Amino acid sequence: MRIWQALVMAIGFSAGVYLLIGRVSLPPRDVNEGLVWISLICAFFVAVSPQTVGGRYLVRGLFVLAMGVLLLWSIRQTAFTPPHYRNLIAFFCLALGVWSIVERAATRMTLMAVLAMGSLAATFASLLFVLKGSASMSQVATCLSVQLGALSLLAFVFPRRLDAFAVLPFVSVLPVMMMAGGHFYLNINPWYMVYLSLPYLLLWIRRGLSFVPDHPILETLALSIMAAGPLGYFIWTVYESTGPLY
Amino acid sequence: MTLHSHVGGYMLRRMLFTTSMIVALLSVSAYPAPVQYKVDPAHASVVFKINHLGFSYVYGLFTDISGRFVWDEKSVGKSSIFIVVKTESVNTGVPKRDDHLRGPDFLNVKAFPEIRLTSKSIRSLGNGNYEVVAQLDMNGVSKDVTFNFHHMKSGKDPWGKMRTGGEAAFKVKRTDFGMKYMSGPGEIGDDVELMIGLEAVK
Repeated sequence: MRIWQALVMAIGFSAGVYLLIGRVSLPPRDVNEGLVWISLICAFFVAVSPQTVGGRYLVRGLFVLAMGVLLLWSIRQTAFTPPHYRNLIAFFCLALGVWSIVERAATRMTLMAVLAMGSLAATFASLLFVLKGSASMSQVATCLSVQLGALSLLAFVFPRRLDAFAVLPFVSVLPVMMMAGGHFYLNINPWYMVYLSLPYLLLWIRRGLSFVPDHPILETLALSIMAAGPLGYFIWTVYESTGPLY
Repeated sequence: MTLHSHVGGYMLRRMLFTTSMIVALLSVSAYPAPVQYKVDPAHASVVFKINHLGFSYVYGLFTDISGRFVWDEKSVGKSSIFIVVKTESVNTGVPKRDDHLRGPDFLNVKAFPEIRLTSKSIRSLGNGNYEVVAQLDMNGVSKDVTFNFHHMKSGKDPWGKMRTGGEAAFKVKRTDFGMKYMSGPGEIGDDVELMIGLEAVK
């Protein structure tokens, strides 16, 4: 059941991207095609993920490496060069860290709130991309954002039907890969991507936020407001400096 | 040595000389041998024109052009053209729009830093006009295009170098090359008109 849910998620995302950009090839020819293959790899991870913690961490690291190679395949001549090593390592750590945070949060929080945080990260990434020069990347991020938003509602309506572990890679590592794509393909400041990870920071410190109620809707609302406020202000400052996309 | 053999040797030398002169004259035909030219980047232009929302056209150009061509006037079919355009050099006069053109929505310059035009066949149409069938590699897609190349002049330039040049114009559909951003009706035109002016030196 878990594998099927992950496959439906990956195929849904891939179909959405294909409808938007009209092509998918292997090896990927651009960032958007790379994200399609990464989503399928996320589903594959769900299928092969080991049960032991150590094994899962190791396999996760290997999967993040593979995803990074796919994401940057079309610009491998310039991306895998010494000037980029620092940022490559930074995004590798960010992906692993966010994945770990989300996996842990899914066992302690309502799945609705976890999915909403992933949706928010993708939404603001989408806004940043459209301001920084790529409508197509923005549309792809919107596609994920809508999917995660819909899953969040589904998790509220049918809380026992949705398997958290089937969707975790799509909530965590896929948005981080989009952020990495934003940096390497659009030259967006990598610190901006750290700002976009604010929803995941809230998941990380959720236990310390004792004033946030445990009820699914209230928890989702409270965390969403806490994430969307600063991120909305951040995007507004970007808009003021860059203006709309041509 | 007899008189007969002396006269025979003279005739033989005469015949050899005449034959060698005829061969030499035949080898210097009316057509020069194939000449290899290198594109002069300072006098090469690739200009494009695209419809904007149906209101008017936006013009832009690429400023980094290189390449070479081999011109064989005796046998035009053996001539070849190879042009490389650096996509990073796109310029429409508006920096923010140029950044957008460089991004994944259009030229995707990080993944595809060059546009290449490689001739496959060249056929003379007379009056300095040639039909060129060439492979256009852009944005990871290869497609054949056919266009007329008007050869304007070949000769020595004021600095004594052999120079040649001409121009071509043709249309491509950007969606054929994976650039689908705002390509619907009433949006940014699908047809991109390309105007190429080239000079090359030997």
